[in-house]
Amino acid sequence: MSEDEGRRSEQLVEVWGDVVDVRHLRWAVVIGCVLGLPSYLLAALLFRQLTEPQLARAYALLVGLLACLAAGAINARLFPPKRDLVEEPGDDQSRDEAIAELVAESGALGSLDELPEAARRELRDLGLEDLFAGSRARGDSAPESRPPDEEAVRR
Amino acid sequence: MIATIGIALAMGLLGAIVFSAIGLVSGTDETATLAPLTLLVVLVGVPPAGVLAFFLAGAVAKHMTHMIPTALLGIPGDTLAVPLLREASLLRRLGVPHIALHKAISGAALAAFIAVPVAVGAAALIAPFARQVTAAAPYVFPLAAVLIAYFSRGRWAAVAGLVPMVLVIAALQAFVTPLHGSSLSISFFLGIAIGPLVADLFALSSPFARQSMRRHTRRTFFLAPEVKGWTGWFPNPLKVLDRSQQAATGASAVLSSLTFVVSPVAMTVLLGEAVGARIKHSYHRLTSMMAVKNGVTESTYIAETLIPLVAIGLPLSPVAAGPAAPLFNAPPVYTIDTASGATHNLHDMLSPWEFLGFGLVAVFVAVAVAYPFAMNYARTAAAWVVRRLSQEAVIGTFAGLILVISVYEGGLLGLLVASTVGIVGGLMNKLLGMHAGVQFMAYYTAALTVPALLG
Repeated sequence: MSEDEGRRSEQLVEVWGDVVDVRHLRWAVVIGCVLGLPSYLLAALLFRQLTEPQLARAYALLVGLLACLAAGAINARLFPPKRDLVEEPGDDQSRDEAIAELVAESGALGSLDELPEAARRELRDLGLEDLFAGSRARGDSAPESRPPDEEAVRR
Repeated sequence: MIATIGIALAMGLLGAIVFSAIGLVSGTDETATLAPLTLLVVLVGVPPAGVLAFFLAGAVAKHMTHMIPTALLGIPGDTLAVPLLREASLLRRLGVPHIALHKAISGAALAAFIAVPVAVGAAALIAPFARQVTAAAPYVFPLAAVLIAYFSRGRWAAVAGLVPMVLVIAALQAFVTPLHGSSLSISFFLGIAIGPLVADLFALSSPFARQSMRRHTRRTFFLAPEVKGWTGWFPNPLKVLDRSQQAATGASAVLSSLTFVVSPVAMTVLLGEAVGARIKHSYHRLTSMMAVKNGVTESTYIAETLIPLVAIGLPLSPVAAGPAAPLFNAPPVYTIDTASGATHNLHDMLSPWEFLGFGLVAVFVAVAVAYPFAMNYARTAAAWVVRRLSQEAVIGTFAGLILVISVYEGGLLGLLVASTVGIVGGLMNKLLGMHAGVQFMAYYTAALTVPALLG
């Protein structure tokens, strides 16, 4: 229930290829910057007392990188992904569609006899041999991309 | 010598682990991740062999684990996984996503081992002409820029876009150099590499632009079911591929290791389709194309890095100018003198034999880490990333990194340069399809050609 409400008030936008919540993103960027930059600057000040300047800057950079990674870990804890994961069961319909698409592409699935022995064994082990053999009769006779014969495809 | 090998092994291992993880996160572009992290490794003072091993192991590992989201979730792991999406999706719908994954990563392992010696050999053939190329560098870069721009998604628009991009970079450089006391380069790189993110963040803060970015639903990911097809820990890649697939993968790896100016995506599509067209049986075509295409993603990356690096020392390929840029130019550690084109980078610090040796070490380590990981934990890892690693966290980390690295190089000026180049480059990238590789070439044109022609 509360999760539903939480979802309804989400302000989703797509940034850099994935969906985020604007408010969460704002904080995530602030946390990344606020942890990263001051860590670097403080480390630079500190290391300058201890070692030569060039090396001090390099070490400080390393500290800055670690701080950014830490910020990433904190952000990951604070803000869960805006994604839904569905465990997809394999189903016959999508198999048939895939076969139909392959037939449409090249006109035929090709004959099992053309396959190297290893590939044929692989198909058999996967339980796909029948699927590919079933449309063979039709596939060999059909020249170009004719829409797939439903029955032949479904075996 | 033993210490050097130890460093190469250790840095290779680090690169392999880090980029095996990054490969799992879909949409993590190679340039945006490999370039900044390699840069960090250079700047903190890791010796040349370690830098090379880190980069190569990272690239090889990423192009293995990028197949995990591609095969199991049906979303491309990164830019170079896009050409594999269709075949992977078909195999997934046939109920055998694990076959797509296994064929692809076995092809990758095979191609990576082939690519290193072939690329170093090809470099040895080009090396005698290195001096002429270096002397002509001010004229070679604009030519390469036009070529790479034309082959980007933007075609002529990207070629035309070179003019304003070069001018913006040259003008910014002229502005910051006297203020900072020396020229900047890392900030420019960073701005280009991370441009699309900068542009998105700017757009997001504009109520007007935000409208087009709104989404009303979460993204739904469909995770393919677990299919246990084999037992053991480290299946022999050569057994996963049948003989004809080994031959096709090997041949396309050799071929793609000899060229270094074509973009990796184009090469992957080209060789993949060439092989696919010769195979009659649909299932065999799908699985062979997985192996060949993913093999080519490895071999082009390795060749386009190693050939210019070993032979010339100037970043004259799309990969060398993009993800591998810090191997060529990362001041103050590695430099390219803009007046003469003289280099002081990995090219001058390692011999061809060392490139070969450390290159093979890197590939070996990457395969040893990424291959069994992808074989055994692909589904668990894919589910974990989707459920636990938010895009917010990824963006927050990168925002921090841009800030830290640009301030490291140039203080406030560095930050201003990175964000200015970021928004200009990012918009050109999104609007014109002018990718980061083209923009890196614009940077070199601005640095080398503009002074030579107009100076």
